[in-house]
Amino acid sequence: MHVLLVAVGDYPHLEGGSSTERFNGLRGVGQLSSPPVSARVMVEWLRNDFVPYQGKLASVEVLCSGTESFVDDDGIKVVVERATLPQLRAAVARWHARGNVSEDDTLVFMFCGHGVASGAISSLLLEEFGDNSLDPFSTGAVAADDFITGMRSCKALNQLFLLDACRYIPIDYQDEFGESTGVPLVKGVAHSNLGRSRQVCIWASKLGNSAYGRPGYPTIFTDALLASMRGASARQDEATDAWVVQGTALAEGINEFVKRSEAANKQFATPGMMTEGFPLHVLAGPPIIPVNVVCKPANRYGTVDLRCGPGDYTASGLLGPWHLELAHGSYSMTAHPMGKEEVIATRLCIASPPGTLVLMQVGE
Amino acid sequence: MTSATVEFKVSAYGRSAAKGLFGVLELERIADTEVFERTVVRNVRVPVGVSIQAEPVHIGAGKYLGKLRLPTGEHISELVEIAPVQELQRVVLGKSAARKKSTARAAPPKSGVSPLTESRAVNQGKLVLGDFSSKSWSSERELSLYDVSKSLPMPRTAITSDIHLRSEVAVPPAPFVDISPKQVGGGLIAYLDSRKQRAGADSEIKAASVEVLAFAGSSSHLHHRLRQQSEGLINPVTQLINQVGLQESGQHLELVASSSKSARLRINAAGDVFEQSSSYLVLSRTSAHSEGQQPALRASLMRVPGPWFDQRRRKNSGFFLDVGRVASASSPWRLSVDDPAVQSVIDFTQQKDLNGALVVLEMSLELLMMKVENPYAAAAAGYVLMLTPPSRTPLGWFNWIGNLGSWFDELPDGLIQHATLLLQRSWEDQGAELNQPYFPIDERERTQLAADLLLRSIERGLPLYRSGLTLLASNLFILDGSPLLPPEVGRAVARARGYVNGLRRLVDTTQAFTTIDISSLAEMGST
Repeated sequence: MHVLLVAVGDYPHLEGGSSTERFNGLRGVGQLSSPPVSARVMVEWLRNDFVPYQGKLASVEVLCSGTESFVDDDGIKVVVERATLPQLRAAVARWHARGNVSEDDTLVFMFCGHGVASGAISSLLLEEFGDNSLDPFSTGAVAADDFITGMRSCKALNQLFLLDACRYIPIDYQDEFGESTGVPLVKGVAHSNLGRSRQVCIWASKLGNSAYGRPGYPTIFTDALLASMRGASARQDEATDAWVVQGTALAEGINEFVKRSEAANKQFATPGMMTEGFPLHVLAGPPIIPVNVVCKPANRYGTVDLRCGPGDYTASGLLGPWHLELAHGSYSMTAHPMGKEEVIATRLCIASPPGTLVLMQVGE
Repeated sequence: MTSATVEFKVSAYGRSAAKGLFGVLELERIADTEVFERTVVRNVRVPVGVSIQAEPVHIGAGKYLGKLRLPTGEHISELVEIAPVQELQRVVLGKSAARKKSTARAAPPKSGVSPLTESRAVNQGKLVLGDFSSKSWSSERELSLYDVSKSLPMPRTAITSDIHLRSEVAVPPAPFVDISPKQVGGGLIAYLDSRKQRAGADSEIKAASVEVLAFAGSSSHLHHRLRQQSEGLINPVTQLINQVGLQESGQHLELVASSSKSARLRINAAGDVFEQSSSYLVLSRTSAHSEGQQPALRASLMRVPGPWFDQRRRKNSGFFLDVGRVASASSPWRLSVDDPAVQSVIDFTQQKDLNGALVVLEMSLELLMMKVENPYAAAAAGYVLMLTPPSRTPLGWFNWIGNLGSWFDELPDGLIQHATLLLQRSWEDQGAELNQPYFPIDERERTQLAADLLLRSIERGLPLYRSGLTLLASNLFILDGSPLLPPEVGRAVARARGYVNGLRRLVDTTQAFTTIDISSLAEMGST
């Protein structure tokens, strides 16, 4: 498996950027602090927690425009290349070549940064976006769909694209720069992989929507992605009985955690294509499932205690849903008047992927 | 309206009880028998099976028609009354005693009804009988063979009792014939003049309104101008629409519908103007607005299928156009076909759920693929097959796709799918059965044929399904700059790529049928 991570936090030509040459075509689009952090936590997760279903993790390459530090396997600090178009072209060429050896190989590409969309066309913005204000998409953007189509001809049939970027349409964009879509990075050639290729593409947001980050922390998508890797995106493998994260289950699992975040109801991870998918990551133990306990009616929040067993989980006087993460299995939930033992509601539930919702009817 | 929380659960239902299957639930508030004022909860994925947790849905109290479409194509509908109480209510759909109405999956075709119309490799003097249906369905049935050039059943029939295997029946050798189209594109364009405000003149706030006007006429003008006007332009459809609509002379104009509230139009039903084959709808919707204020406006050009034949129910069916209050505020209309199996395939495709689409397809393939009777359903099946692993695709489907493109002049989708097979699929699983004119061995010949198919598909107008626009773009990307194309064809491909990207910028990505946003034009008041 070969991973290429691209994180763009610095956009010198956009709002708040370091360059004096300012691109004004995208209003309100400026500097980001969360993509470099996302790249770092992804590297840490790959290094420490990732168990590939097939083969081994053979390479991780990072391009990052930002101040984040990265270390190699020996803990020595390394300088990574910036996420500019020339660097990305070269990195994609290397990554493509590594994957162009065996059909059984797996390629993972993750982009974290700004994105724009126009209708069904999405573009990913690189560091130097806006350096040529007459043709910004030709010098600093990736045409996402063409890139993925181009990659379909690569020998490695398992391909995962994680695209953590906005897909909304800035007003000025379509009028002024509508002809451009970005650089495809890989030339389109005839191939015979459609139907065989198990390309999975997960966008952090729906078309027309934004993706969110928290200053100084990983993006909502990255956080949710890594949380879902613990079980929400896992399915039991029929052949081995093990719990395995499936590419086609990623969006559902990610959304279970996004809807617990600040971006709830604003950001929805969305598959970019219809695909058979492939198994990605083997869980070391039972899957950990997000379980949300909701009290009805809502005005009883703050007046009840909630308990869950086995495990003796308790919550008292919560003002909103109770978010638990439980190992796969059966549980009993009870509701009690706050500080009392009297049981006013009981529910049995099975915590199973992608997530479980438990409604507790706790009276008027 | 009192809000209520209801748990919907589907009891074990035949083959659908398999673990992990989900159905799609729609709830329609019932106002009267003709027009539903709809409160729709769309794409609620309801777990199917006894061991899976029920799905809670928050809806207002009242009477609903709950319609559940299972991945297998089964269609359950049930009247549901939701009480205006706070307590959690439970509804079990499926094999419950309380079920008032349910339509189970249709039985396999009866003897005498042709379940298979397609499969021939005339060049080799053989007729290949491949049953395209589920590999696990092994009941004996009669296969009637069609002479595709005449669209008539051939006199001889063959019986197969094992659909895992192919049967080969010798037929007299015949040269390959480029078969003329069986259905010529019709011309029906509905046009909605959003400028007509039908709300009461005395009211201070004019209600949101929707009108649909239709006029009959050849759609070839549309296709032609689409091409001519669009090349090299950023926003081709805007230019296109200037050329159609009411400016066409001699068109017959007819008001189809006007509504200031949510409505469901049944199209292709007997007696309405849509009974002819149709190509495009132009729809628009004005928002609620104050007197003297310009209403916000949303307008779309939508490619719609022609007369719809439901093979399973063996009857002419139609499609529904829901306008007004539907799931997404950004999409004020939604087209759906009144054909449960096909709509299931369309829905799963829309949700990017290949396994769900394949479950339906594998159980209904022989029906979906009867393209002589319904090429639009066949095209929907084709898009799923494009992405299906070779181990799960039916026998002989490459030639079948070739025919789909060749026979139906009005439909670009078959040509796009054919080009996709030439440029992006492996042919290994097709063996020696490939029809050579459709699938040339020589790489240069194959590339040039693909370019020709794609350019011809553009001449035919918008693909019926949005999936077609995506494949069209990916194929043109592959061809752009190919050294195997003559220079003039290469230039045409580059122009076509710009044109298709222009369309993709305007496409409504929430619709399964290709729908282009033309709001900016409508605001210009070109009509």
